[in-house]
Amino acid sequence: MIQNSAGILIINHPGDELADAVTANLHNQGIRTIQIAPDTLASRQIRLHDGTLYLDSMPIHGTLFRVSPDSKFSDGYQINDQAFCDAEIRSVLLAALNLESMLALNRYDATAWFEGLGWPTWRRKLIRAGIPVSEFLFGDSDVSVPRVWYPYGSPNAMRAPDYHAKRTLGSALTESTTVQKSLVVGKDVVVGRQAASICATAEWLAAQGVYLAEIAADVDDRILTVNTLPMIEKFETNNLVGCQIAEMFYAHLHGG
Amino acid sequence: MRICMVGDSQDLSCTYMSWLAQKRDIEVVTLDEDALGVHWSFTYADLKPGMGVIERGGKCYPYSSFCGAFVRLHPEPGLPSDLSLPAEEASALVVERRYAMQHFLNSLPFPVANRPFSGRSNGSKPHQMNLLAQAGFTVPRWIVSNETAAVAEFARQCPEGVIYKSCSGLRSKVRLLDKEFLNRLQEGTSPVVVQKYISGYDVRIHVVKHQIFATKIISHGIDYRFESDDNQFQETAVPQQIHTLCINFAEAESLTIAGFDFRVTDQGEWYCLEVNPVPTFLPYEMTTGQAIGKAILDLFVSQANVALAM
Repeated sequence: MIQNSAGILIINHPGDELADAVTANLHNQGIRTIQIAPDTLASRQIRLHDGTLYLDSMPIHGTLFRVSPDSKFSDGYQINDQAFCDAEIRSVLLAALNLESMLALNRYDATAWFEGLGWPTWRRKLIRAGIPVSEFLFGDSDVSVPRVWYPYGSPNAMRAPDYHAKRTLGSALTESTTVQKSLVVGKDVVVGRQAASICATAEWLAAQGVYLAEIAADVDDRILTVNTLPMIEKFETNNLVGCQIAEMFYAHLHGG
Repeated sequence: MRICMVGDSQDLSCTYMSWLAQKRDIEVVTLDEDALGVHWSFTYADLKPGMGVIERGGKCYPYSSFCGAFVRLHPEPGLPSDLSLPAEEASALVVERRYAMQHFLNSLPFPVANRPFSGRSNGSKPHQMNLLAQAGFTVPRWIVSNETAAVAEFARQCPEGVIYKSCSGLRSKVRLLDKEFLNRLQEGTSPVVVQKYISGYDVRIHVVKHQIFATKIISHGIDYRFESDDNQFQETAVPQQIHTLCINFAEAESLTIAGFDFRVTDQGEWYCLEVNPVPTFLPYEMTTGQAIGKAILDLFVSQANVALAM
């Protein structure tokens, strides 16, 4: 049974309008909320014990995690201590987001958490799940047709690099380009196309605990990229998604 | 028959595995991370991984000609030897190249010890301890906190004593909790794992697929890894239940080789502390004669025989 005194933790960079919308909705529902920037986390009182996360003594049963796991968490610590401190907080967060008592948006497994939330991680997982993905060539590929380059650490396509860079960076090249992006919350497509591959991806992501994502598909409806930290530009969409996420937290806190 | 050594060929485990392989007439192709694009390169489509090719020194090696890869990635890989870049660009290159190495290793269609995606839970001790407990291991009671009062109260509930250690996968020495540490907590620090101290001895179990190698370590220190003066290593037996749990957990974490750390009480209770996906098995093999490296090679060779038979 979820304790009524438990609250929701929201970790976001300043200016994240979706996080602000969720926070406002939770406040309206009378739910205790702590909204903080990631770099302040290491300065807070943290406790993980008997299956519950406590932040400043408040039991946390839901977390909206809107930053990358490799964010800086250690503002206020000495420069020489920050890398260690960041790693420590990162490891506590992974454990916390995977607690049974916690509804996390998003929940990641250790592979995604430490390998990075970029497209290569999701691509490998989607291939294993049998979901169609765009065709890529990796490394020192000798290709004559024009291709675009997806750096492993970036969601954005770039012009293909020269020969030496391509070899040295083991570059990922594809002919595919994004046709449209779909925003999914839970298993539902909130904005964009509802192609079978996108719905299958949304369902698979939700089964892993990834409830919020932007999915890009190519012209053949194969999945090109997955972004689990989408920024939403439209005010109305932010409010809609913010309301949906707040309702998910409300239901979780009240045993739904 | 051919294997590859990937990452840092100067690593002692890589050197040893190469020597073992060459004694068995297994060809070793060295693929150093800092030489990618200079001395070697790869080409593959991950939707057709069997068609991949590794090029090294003007020779092309189809993926299908390899039966295994042994991996040791350097924590701070360098730039290619003939390349000089401003610090920021050098850092960007190293990061992007590491991603490429990970994708390459994760996609290889033959056994890899270990793939970068496997055993990642070791990066978070509290998360891994939760997974171990869910899998059926007995894990000593623990708390993670930077709150002095909570840690002191937890310690009070453990009259046999408590130890503390880092939360992350960064190597750190395990120490007994004392007043000095509580004072440091009071001054403000990041959270630590504080755990019930288990009186007894250490056991390291190496799992290579379905084989296990157990070593009992008799030490007078709290953390034998850092107090090596009078440590004694002995091959030891393992209860069947622990044997099964280790093999199942390693498989669930996609680990070809894994190193499990246990504390065992004099009453024969086995407490699992953690699982290491990059275990340094040499000290255990050298002191007990357990053929852990050979088991890894045997596994690779057996996969080559399967491929030949198909």
